[in-house]
Amino acid sequence: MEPVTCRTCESRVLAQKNTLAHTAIQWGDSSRCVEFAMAGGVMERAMNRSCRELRASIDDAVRSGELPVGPPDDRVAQDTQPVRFDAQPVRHG
Amino acid sequence: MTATQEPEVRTIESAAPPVRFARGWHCIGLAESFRDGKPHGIEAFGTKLVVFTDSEGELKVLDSYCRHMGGDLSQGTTKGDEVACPFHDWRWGGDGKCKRIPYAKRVPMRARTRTWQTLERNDQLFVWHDPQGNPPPEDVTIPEIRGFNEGTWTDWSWNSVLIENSHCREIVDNVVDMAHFFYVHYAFPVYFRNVFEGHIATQYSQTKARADADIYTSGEAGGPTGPGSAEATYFGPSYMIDYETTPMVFGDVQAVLINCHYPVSPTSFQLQWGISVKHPEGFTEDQANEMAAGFAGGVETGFLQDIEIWRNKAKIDNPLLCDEDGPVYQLRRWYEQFYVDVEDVTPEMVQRFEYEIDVERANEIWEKEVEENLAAGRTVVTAPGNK
Ligand code: FES
Ligand SMILES: [Fe+2]
Repeated sequence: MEPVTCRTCESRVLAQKNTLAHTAIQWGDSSRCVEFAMAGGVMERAMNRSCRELRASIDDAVRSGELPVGPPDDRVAQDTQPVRFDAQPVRHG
Repeated sequence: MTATQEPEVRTIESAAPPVRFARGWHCIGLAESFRDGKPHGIEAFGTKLVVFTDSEGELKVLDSYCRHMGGDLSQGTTKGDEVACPFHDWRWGGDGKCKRIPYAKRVPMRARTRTWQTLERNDQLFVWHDPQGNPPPEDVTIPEIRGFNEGTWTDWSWNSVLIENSHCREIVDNVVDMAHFFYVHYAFPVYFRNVFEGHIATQYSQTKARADADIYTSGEAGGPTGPGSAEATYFGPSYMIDYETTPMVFGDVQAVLINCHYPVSPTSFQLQWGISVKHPEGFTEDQANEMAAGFAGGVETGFLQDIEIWRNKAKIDNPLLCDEDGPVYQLRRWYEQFYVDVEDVTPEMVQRFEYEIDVERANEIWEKEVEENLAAGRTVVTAPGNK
């Protein structure tokens, strides 16, 4: 994944494009995003399908070549860490 | 080729399912179904709960096993504001306190049992489960169904089934599973996007029926005129609201589907689903109900298709994915937040993540497969009841 900065709110995300139609976006802090801020609370923010400003910034990064389009070679290495739900002892409060 | 040149055989990794149960609001059924004046038993979270109504009509939930000698309160009776144990008639209030022992002079100290915090929303009853015993944070709640107060909606058609030898994570995996729509549900997923943030995970999709699948009853109203769209969101680990819009000749049909579950044991869960359909304008009550029944039937067929898979599949911690698959690992990281103590929730579990699958190539291939089936006169499935 490559860093992309939103042209409007300057949030920095990690983005990946396997193809033009595919997009993966890993946000860090999403609280700066103006579109989400308009949405309201946690619920409304999460229910926002996407931010148009960020989407446009990613398209710009693709056009300028900053964000390469193609399947990442490291996908397998990166994505296949099993998530095991290693259960912790239950602490009763 | 010698054996050494071949890639190693992939092994399925699978650790024992977690012993703890998810933190969150869990729907245990339609509120109305508990309002018959009798106590109701619910096997959940490795124990049994009792649900009863106090004299104000408020639903209360306690541990069902009586702290006196272990009697099962759900087999008892409701007496006034309390539930009375069938064993020795101890009376337990909705606040968890033993209020009265009819044959004793006084109630012993510490005569207190576990209460479960409840929430009534969307005609359903929820209990809050947290192994750490904390109350629900304010922003972690079950929202009201959007648009439910506009127009007329049919009564919930509600179903429940116990799934054994399976962990509820299997059903949650479905949120990111684009390809199973074609193979399991006989529909083309023509659009597919996921967003996870906080305790919320959504699947946005558009699907259209396979022409070679004899499964979707179209009835008098005819079939859909284009792809249907769905916005399906988990609010926490176990309660999903799915807004479905299906274009028909007479206009869009709006339906809301609830897909929820609660764990019974570490290896079994109670799966529930309900559906309500908005009366289309110009429809009589009867027509609307008939159409809703048809929709509910279709949804039920879909669930049974998934259940068949879950009942037979292996638990797999290390799925092997291709580029057209959804973000299974990221979804599981999101889901893991409900299985760790709140102070151990890491940023990766809750930070916003978006994923849009390129469905174009997969759909091209599937279209060809369907065309070939049609040309050869093959039908992929005949649902019972469909000719
Ligand atoms: S066990 Fe319940 S009253 Fe004795
Ligand atoms: Fe499914």
